[in-house]
Amino acid sequence: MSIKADPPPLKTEAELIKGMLAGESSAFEMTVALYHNRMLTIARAIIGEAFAEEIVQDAWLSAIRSLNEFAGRSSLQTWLIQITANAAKTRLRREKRQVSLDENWQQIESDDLFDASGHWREHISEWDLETPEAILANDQLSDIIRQTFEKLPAQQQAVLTLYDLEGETMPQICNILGISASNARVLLHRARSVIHQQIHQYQEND
Amino acid sequence: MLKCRDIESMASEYLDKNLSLRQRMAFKMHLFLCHNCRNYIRQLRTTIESIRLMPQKQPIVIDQHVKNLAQQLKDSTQK
Ligand SMILES: [Zn+2]
Repeated sequence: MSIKADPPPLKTEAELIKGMLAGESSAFEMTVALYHNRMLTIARAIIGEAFAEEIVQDAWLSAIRSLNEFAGRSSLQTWLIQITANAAKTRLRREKRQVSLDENWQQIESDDLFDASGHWREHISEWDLETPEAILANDQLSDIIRQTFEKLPAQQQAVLTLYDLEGETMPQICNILGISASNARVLLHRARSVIHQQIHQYQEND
Repeated sequence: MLKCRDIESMASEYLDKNLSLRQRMAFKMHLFLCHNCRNYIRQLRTTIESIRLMPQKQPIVIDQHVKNLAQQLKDSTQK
């Protein structure tokens, strides 16, 4: 059973923390609802699907345990992501066997897009829905974007989340995920390209 | 001279303003001459803006999984 309603009046992070310290169930629920998926994304990107749930579970417990000491030095979300990333990296070092990431790799072959001389194979036209507002107002298209986002390989999804949704800087992202700057850049562009491709296909076929 | 293929692979760097001045000049020169790439860059910019706008349109879901975990966390504070 899931309740999908308009978001309740958003509480500030300070209110959520105060609520949790006072033992209010609703504050715990709202905090988990807001941040759990983000934490899973980060854990998956570092250690893979198999350990992600467990890592995030542990990260939550240790975060809640030290909630008293969290004096708002960073945002609650940044702090939770940091705890998750650290837990995942510690576990990664402990796991002897190689953790497999990005198994369902779907790369767009650039040969499909360009001819031998490096030109676009097809004419690139303007989109009919040409603003983000118009795109997201289209229910079908906004579902496509959401589903594509959720199906992105873990590392791509994590970089996209941190950069485009959270507005973290590239050095911070490399630090959180333990990857190089050039790798992060490639992952970001791939993730955006996959979503671009899906929007493009929809607009061309419509 | 940059090819369309190069424009595609450098597009995120361009939009994130990460190119060196020299690269940026070469990039803009290609855009000036190439209609396809101008449209592509416009599409990618719109894509990025759509991604950034997406969470604001998403409802917050409190399902059973969320409730269970929240309960577990709340219980952990009372030990
Ligand atoms: Zn071109």
